Parts: sequence; structure tokens; C-alpha cells
Amino acid sequence: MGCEQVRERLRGFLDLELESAVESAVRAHLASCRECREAYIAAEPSLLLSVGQAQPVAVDDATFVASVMGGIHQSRLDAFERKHAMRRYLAVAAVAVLSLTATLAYRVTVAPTTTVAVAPTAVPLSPVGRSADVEPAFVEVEGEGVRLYQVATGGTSTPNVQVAFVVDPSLEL
Amino acid sequence: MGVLRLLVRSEVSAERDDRELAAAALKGDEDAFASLVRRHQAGVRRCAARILGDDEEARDIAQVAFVKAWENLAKYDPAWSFSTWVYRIASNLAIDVLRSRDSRDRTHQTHLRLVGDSEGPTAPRDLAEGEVKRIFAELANLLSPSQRVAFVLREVEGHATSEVAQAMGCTEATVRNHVFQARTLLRRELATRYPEYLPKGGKR
Repeated sequence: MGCEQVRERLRGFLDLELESAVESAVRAHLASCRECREAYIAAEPSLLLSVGQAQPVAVDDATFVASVMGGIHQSRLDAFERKHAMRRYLAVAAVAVLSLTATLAYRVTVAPTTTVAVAPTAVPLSPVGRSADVEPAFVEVEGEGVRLYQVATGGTSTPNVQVAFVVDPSLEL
Repeated sequence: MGVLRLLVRSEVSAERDDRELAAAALKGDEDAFASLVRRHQAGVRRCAARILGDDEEARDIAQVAFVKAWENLAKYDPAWSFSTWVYRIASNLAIDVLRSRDSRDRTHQTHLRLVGDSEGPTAPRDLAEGEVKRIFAELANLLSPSQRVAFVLREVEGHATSEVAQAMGCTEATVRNHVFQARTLLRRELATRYPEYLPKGGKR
């Protein structure tokens, strides 16, 4: 592209309206032609800082590429470590869940039930002197059904003592 | 015109090669990715250096940009040129660095230069490459990160407006606005601080 063609395209260049290939050709001309470059800079002084920097900067290819690939290898190693760390956590969690499930299943299906009254339970007692036909009180202690048998209401010395037996309802006395 | 057609054709075939290399890299071919790095590292490093005004920092940013490109290859859209995609990653990283810099530091880096003799030379002084770089690094601190990136990519690196818009994730109209605002600001500061470098009678 000659100087005349470049000068004709000054307005389009400044308005960012030139096609990419044409603009590349104008820039290439400005890099080598001082007169055209000064004409452009006179029209737009900031071009002093753009066309004046068009020369490529020397770079060391080999060490930079090696450092990038080193960074990529480290990134892959980190991703591998994270993936395996997650697998270890999941394995430990799975073992814990299985253990808990097995323990619960054993307690529910195999182990004998043991009922413990956690706190004193106030129960309505059968009135004293009733016959054996009277249904003993039925209370629940810790979710287990039990029967409460009132054996004695206490004698004259201990009139308020009551004795309760906790019995499995399936074992009817 | 024949030369222009040749340039356009070679650029198109190079882009096609880039896409093929990127597809191979996505399947785990590290050599293919190393070829892409070798091909584009000069441009990315130069661009980052001009945005940040620091060659060492630009090297680090460029390195991180390529590593991020590798990690996100699955997200690369072949409709883009590979270089534009890497420029986008590098530009975003550079903008983050610019925004994280203390604004006070940026103010200290800019200083009012004493203007000497009012009767300057009739012709503008020639600027050496290093001097241009120094002056731009100084004045670019006055630009916003987006203006700076747009000016470097569009005016200095010579990328097409459409490519710059893709790299910055904005519209072409926005890119033009950033460039025009950057030009206005730089023009004013050049006239104030370095009038001896400007042609007499030129636009101020």
C-alpha cells in the first residue's frame, strides 16, 4: 500500500472503520514510513503511543513454554489429589454408615430388650382391696409396654409404700 | 492487493490449525497445547506487558492465562479464534491486577513533568521504542482498566474491533467508546507533559 492510499484512509483508520486486513496494511506502512506516521500523529497524537509500540518484544520461548507446561502438570496433580481425597472421605463415610446401620439392625432384631425406667413414673394404682379381677395398671416405660402390679399397699407401719414389678406384657402372670 | 489476500489466507489457515491443536489438546495431547503456547505466547505476553506496564508481572499473568486455558479447554468455543480466547483470559487477569493495585500507588507513578523551553523543536523529537513504552506506562495509569485494555488490544496490538469485543466480553460499540475516551485522555496528557514529541500545529 502506497503513501497516497494510506493518507486516503486516515479518516477511516481514526474512526475504527477500516476492514481488518486493510487496517493491518495501513499499520505496516506506518511502521516503515515516517512521513505518513507523522501525518497520522498530527491528526491524532495518541497514535504516537500506539504505532510507536508496534515492534514485537523479544521473548524467551523455551523457558516460558516449559513453565506453562509445568503449571499444567501441577494443576493435573492437584486435581488428582483432590479427586482421591474425596474418594477417601466417601469411603470412610460409607463404612461409618454401614457400621451404624448394622449396629441398629442388631439391636432391633437380635439383642434382648432391656427396659429401664428412666424416671419415677406416676401411675394410677388400683384401689386397695379390690379383687384379683381388677386389671392391673398398664403403663409404658421407655416405649416398652409393661404391667404394673401393685403387690402391697404397705402395712400399718408403711401405709404409702407401693411396690411395682416391671413385667413383659407377653408374660402374663 | 495480492499481498493482502496472501496475508488473509495464511491467517485463516493458522486459525484452523489452532482449532485442530485445541481439539487435540482437549483429548489430553500436551504437545499440541505446547505448540499453541509457543505460537501465541509472544503476543499474549506483549499485550499483558503493555496493559500492566511491567514485563515480569506480564510473564506471570500470561503463564496463568495459558494454564487456565488448559484447565477450561472443554469450555473453548471453536467459533472463536484460539488467540482471541486466550487474550480474553489474559485481559481479565490483567484487569483484576489493575483493580487490585492501590489507587495511591497509581497516583505516585504519575508525575508532572516539567516542561522546558517553550520554543520547542519545529519537528517532533524522535521517540525511541523504550521511551514510548515508558511514557505509555506512565500515562496509561490515568486510564480505567477497560480503557487501557481496549486501547492496547485495539490501537497497539492492532486487533479487529470484533476480536477486542470478544476478548473483553462487550459490544463493538463499547470497545469504540473505550478507545475514543482513551485517545482523548492520552492526547490531553501528551500535550501537557510531552509537547516536544508532538508535531506543531497538530490536534491537541
